[in-house]
Formats: sequence, structure tokens, C-alpha cells
Amino acid sequence: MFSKDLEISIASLFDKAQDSNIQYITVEHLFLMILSDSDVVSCLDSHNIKIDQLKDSINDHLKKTTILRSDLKKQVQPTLGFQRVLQRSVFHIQSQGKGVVKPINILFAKTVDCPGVSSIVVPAHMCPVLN
Amino acid sequence: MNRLSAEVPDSNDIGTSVLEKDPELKEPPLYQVILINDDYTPMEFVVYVLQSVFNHNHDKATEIMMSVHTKGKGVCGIFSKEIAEMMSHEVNELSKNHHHPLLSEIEPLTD
Repeated sequence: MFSKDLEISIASLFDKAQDSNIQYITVEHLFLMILSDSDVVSCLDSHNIKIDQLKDSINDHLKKTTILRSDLKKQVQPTLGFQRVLQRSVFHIQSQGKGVVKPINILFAKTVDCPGVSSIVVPAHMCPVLN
Repeated sequence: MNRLSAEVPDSNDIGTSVLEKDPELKEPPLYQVILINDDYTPMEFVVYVLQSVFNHNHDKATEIMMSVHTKGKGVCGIFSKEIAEMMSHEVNELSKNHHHPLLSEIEPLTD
């Protein structure tokens, strides 16, 4: 389903969110996570996207929009958008019979779905390239 | 002769490069979560939802509940689209689990 590295990264994303008292894990958190993957970086590089600038934009956006947990008994929850992106990347891989989902597949799924800041800073013309 | 000479490129154009313009960026729009009035959901449950999902204190929750009751709808909060969608989903699930018809939806903030 997911590659081993991706599974570990997603699990650590949830752990970090738990530690930082974040209530909802969003597509932006996921996007920030996959920006440390070499395939994703080289793909974005080839479209002249400045990775550092992109990371700064997402971090700024997260600072402004993140909701902290008021009740510590509440579990950290992935948003519906987060779930849709992961689900789409799995369907994409399954429909092609390609094996496991890698961060680059998530980049594709995210570009199609996300209405947030990440779809605005990543140009829409990337969709056909990754498809 | 005239036709051939017309095909010779203008010497002024040689060596000119075109720099592609950077894409224009803008902040994503914010969304408000709206609670919609109905004749069946108890007021206490609406206050409970506002306190548990949106973390409003009792006074603020009561004020929003009264706005829902008198005006037909009330604004619970303003968030990014993803968060607003998630909170609205939580409200609707909570209502369903408690067998109340209370509904919420999201609307883009137009300013």
C-alpha cells in the first residue's frame, strides 16, 4: 500500500502533531512532510519552484491556521482533505498496478485535490506532468 | 526579391530573450462555519456543540445559539477551508450520533 518510508513519515507526523497539541493534521502538514523527499524535490526543481520559499510559505500558512487542542483527551485527527489525498494516491497506484505509494504520488494527488495554500503556490500546470 | 528580403530577420531581434513572468499568488480564501436553525434540536445541545467542537465559552456559545434561534443561522467561526470543512463535518456527525437534526455548512467569506 504505502512505502515503508512513507508509513514511518506519516506515523511521525501524527506523533509530532500529538506533541505540539495540534488538533487537525491538514494537507499542508502532509505537503511539508513530502518536501523532504528527493523525488519530490527534483520534480519541483524541474518546474523552477524554489523549495525553501515554498517551505516558508507553508510554515507561515500553518502558523496562521493551525488549531490547537483545547481538550488533551481528544485525539489528533486527519482532516477530510488529508484523507482524500492519501486515498486518491492509493487509487492512483492501484489503478496502474504499480506497487506502493511514494511521496511523489502524494504530490500528484495533492495537486489535484487541495483547495489550500499548497495548490496556490504550486502551479496548476504540474498536474498533466505528474499524471 | 522583395519576398526574400522580407524573410531576413530584423537584426534588432537577435539576442533578445523573454523572461517568463512569475505566477501571481494570492492567499486562499477563508470560510465560515454556519449553524442552521431547526425546530427540533434542543438549545442545550447547540450550546454543547459550540463548546465542544469550537471551544467557545458558555457565554459566547449561548450568544451564537440565540443568533441561530432568532436569525435562522449563526456563524460559529472563521477558518481555512480544510479546517472549516472538518469542523462542519464534526458538528454534523455529533448531531447524528445524538439523533438531532442540527446541520452546519461552510460558506466562503466574501469581503
